[in-house]
Amino acid sequence: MIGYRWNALRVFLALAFAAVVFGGCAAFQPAPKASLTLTPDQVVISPALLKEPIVFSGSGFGAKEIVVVEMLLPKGVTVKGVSAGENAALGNGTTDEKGDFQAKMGAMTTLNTLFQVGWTPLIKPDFKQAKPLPPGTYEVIATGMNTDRVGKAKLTILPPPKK
Amino acid sequence: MKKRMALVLIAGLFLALGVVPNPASCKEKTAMFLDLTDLTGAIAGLAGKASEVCKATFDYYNEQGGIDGVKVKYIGVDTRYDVARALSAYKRYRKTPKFLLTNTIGTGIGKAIYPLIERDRVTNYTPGDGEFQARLSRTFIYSTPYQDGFAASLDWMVDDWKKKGKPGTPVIGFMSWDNPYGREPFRGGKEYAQKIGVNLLDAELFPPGSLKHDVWLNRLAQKGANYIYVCGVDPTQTNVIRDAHALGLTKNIQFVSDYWGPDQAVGVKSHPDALEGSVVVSCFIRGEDTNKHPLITKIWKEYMKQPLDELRGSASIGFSWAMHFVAGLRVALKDVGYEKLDGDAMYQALQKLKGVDVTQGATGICDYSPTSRRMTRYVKFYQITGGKVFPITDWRMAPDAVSLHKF
Repeated sequence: MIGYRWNALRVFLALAFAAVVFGGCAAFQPAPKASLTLTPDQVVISPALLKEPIVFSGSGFGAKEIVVVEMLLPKGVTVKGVSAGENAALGNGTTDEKGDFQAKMGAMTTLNTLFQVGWTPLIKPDFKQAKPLPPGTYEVIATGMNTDRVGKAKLTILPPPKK
Repeated sequence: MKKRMALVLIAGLFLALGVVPNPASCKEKTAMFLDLTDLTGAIAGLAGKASEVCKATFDYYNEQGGIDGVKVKYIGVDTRYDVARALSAYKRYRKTPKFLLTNTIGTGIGKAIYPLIERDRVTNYTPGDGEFQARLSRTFIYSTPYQDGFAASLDWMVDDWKKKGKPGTPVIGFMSWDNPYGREPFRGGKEYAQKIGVNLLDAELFPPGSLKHDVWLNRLAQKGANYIYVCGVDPTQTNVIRDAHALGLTKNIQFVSDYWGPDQAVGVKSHPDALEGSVVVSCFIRGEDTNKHPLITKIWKEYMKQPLDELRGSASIGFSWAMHFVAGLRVALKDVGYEKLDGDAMYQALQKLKGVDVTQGATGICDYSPTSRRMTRYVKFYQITGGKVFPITDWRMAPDAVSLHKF
């Protein structure tokens, strides 16, 4: 009886080992590294950002793929239109043949996510309703939509200068 | 004991082969509609209500047991009319089982997302950019292309001119937002005007959000415009015509607005006097027609729980999104069954809707086919009278202005 149980256990372990080796090894392979840089990476939320927006630069992604740049929202920070647990989009770009990309934060994103403005029925941003993102350091990720490669960076929102 | 060992062995085998029963297969059958809409942003007034009605229409069908037993899983995301947010939301939901179609509320969003639509082999709806008809793809236009609607309006203006016993052909002005949407009617519409021999003045383009429109209106009036075609999203058209009324221009110039023009619950409600007599071309029913549509009114009252006098023109837009999805899903299920239902099946199915009255009369007969991405070829003309919106024509086929332009 002991021999039978031991044999069964060995078969079980062999099958489980096969499952890990053949089915799961891909998950353990290190993914190629992607990188992300924000210029500047420290900003004050002000109308100057509409004239000189934040620039996202990345490399190490797949060739000719769409990259989405998102901010991870810490607990307690909310962004209008973004449900709890979701990331707030900051930008997007498309890589070149080498897997590099560069993109500016769009005016719509700056208004909607950094300023969190309201909108009038005449389709004008309403700064009276604005709730700018609170000062702090936020983690930002860029994800390749084909390769799932992720580059990471930080964005620091500085408090507005004292008048 | 042998039995227990056998069970352990079988469990190990299942674990190794990864054939553990999928709990999802025991759940109800669903198909996903991803709505990348705008609930709090720049065009929320139009898009938000359309999306609410779209969801309510799915709720109605789901309550009846779904489409041949398959319920529609509606996921609405507030993109605030922002391409980056739309892409981020698409990333989040693209791997949802039975994801068949995404609705992109703006042309820019539709174009940005298209490489992913292609890669994921799903389908998408987009507003009326004629380029999607000129270059056939997985993107389906959810209206009559803008240039076709404009061309139909040029025909209506010529007919109206003749009916009034005026000689020759009218002089026509064009006012619109200075953006790709605003310029789109001219891409083919301008060529159509040349074809039928009307004098179409240079487009007067203004920034979205303009408070007053006197400069552009006066310039068109000085050039002798008899008709002015106005684009934007209500209340833009209402405000243009309000300014024209204040300048006394509505006495001699007939104003015609595009599909997103004066809405019975928005502009018409706030400026009925200024809008008196102005005309709207539409590929969706509106005004008194919408008030009489049995299913839209039922959904508005019972699922939206809102009074009929608040019924908006955008209700028929959201209703149409849902009904075309329902019709496509029905065909796809018949063709491939639930197990094989995917974006490809939906793509094939939508192309089989040509000639079908998908919306119970809320839009013209559907035109989707292997050679057409137009939701319909038909438009209808409405006139604002006494603060209400009445039809003044039946559905009439819009000219093919898309084919006149080189994209």
